[in-house]
Amino acid sequence: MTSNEPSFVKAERRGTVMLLVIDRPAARNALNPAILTKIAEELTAADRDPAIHAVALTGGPKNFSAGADIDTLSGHSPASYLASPTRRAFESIYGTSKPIVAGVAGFCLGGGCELALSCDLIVAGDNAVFGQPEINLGIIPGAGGTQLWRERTGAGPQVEAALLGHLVDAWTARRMGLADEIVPAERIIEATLDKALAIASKAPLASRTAKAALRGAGAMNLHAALAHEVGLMAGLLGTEDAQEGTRAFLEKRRPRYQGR
Amino acid sequence: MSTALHRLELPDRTTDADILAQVKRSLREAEQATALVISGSFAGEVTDAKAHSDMIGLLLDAPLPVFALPSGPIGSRGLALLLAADRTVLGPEAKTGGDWRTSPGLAPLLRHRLGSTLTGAIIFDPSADLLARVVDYGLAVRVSNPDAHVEEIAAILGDGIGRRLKRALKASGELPLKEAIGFDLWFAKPQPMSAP
Repeated sequence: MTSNEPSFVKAERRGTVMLLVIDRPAARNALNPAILTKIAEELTAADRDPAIHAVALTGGPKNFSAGADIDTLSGHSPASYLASPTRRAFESIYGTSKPIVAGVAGFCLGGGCELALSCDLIVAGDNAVFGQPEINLGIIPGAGGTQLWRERTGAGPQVEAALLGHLVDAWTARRMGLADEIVPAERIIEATLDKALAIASKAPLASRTAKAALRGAGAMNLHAALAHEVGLMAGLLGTEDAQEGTRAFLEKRRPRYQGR
Repeated sequence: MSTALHRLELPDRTTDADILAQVKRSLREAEQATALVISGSFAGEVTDAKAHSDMIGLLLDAPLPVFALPSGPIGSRGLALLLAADRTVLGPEAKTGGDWRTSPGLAPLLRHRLGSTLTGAIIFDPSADLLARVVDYGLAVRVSNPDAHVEEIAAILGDGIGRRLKRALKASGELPLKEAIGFDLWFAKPQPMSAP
C-alpha cells in the first residue's frame, strides 16, 4: 500500500474501545489488500496500546463487506497467494489478542464473512446476510470460511455454506448461533460499540486472557485446553486487577481496573 | 417519510414467475412508501413451486406492511399471498375457488398466523368457510370499500411507524421474547449526535 492510496477504513477511539469502520460504499465494502492491511495494522496497534481494551469492527448500516475484490483473488498464483498481504492480514486479524466485536449489517459474504467470524462476538443488523459464495466461483473460502462457522453453528450449516454457498439471513444466523444479537440495521454502530464498551469495562487482562482460553478450544484437545485454562487463571491471580476485583466486590463498589 | 401507499395490481392470467418479479420490483420501488398494497386478481393455481415459495418468502420478509386486497375468486396462488400479507381486506366479491385445502403453503402459513389450535379448527372442519374463518380470527376484515379501509390504516402508519411495527413484528416471530423486546427498544433510544 502506498501512502497516498486510500485505505477505506476509519479508525476512531471511543473511550477504551477502538472503533474501526470499513468505508468503501461504492464497492459494498469489498475487501482489498489495502483495507485488510489497514485493519490488521490497527488491530496490532490496539493490541500494543494499554489504553485500548476492546475493538469494534463494522461496515456501518448498509453492508459489512460483500467479500474480497474479485480481481484481488484472480491475480494470484498458488505461490503468490500464500505469501500475499491478504492472507497475512487475515492471519494477523484472527491472531489479535484483544476482544473484537463485529457489527454486521447488509452483505457479509466471502472474505467479509470470514473477517466477521475472526471476531469474538457478532452483532447483526436485521438486514444482514451471511454466506460463503466462493464455491460459485470455482474456489473455496480460503481465510477460515470452511472452519470458523462450525464452532458457532455445528457441522451442517458449515457444510451448506462451503459446498452450496447458501446465504443465511440475520434471523437464521441468530438461531444457528452465527450471530449473537440482532438490532435494527441503522443502529449497528452504536450496538457494536455498546457491546465492545461492555467488554472494555471488565478487567482488561482478564478479558484478554479469557479470549486466549476460549481460542484454546479450537487449537487443542479438551484435556490440553483445560490445562491451558488453569495456567492462564493462575497467572491472573497475581495481577493487581484480580486483587482490585475481589476487593471491590467485598467493599460493594465498582472496581477500578488498571490493566496491571 | 411519505405516507404514500405503493400499489401492485395483479393482472388476470399471469404466472408465478411474473408475480414473483412484480413483487420484487414493487418492494424495490416501495422504499419510501408506508405500505405495499397488492390488489387485483388473486385467481390462479400454483404451477411453479419455486417461484411461488420465493414470493411468499419475499412478502414475509418485507420491511414494510403488506396489505392484500383480493377481488373476485381467490385461487391457491392468491390464498398463500393473502396469508403471507400482514393484513387482508376483503371486498364483497372476494371468495375462494376450488379446494382451498390443497393450496401450497396453506397449513404452515395458517399455523404461522393463527397457531396450531385455530389452524386445526379450520383445516379439519369439513364445513369451514376459509375466508369467513380468517375474518372471525382477525386475520382479515370484510368491508364494502377496501381501498378506503386501507387508506384509513395507512393514515396511522406514517412517519415510519408502519415499518417500525413490521420490523418489530418480524423480530418477535424470529427471536426469543426478551431479545425481540430488546430489538424494539432500539427504536425508542435517541439517535447519537454523530456517527463516524
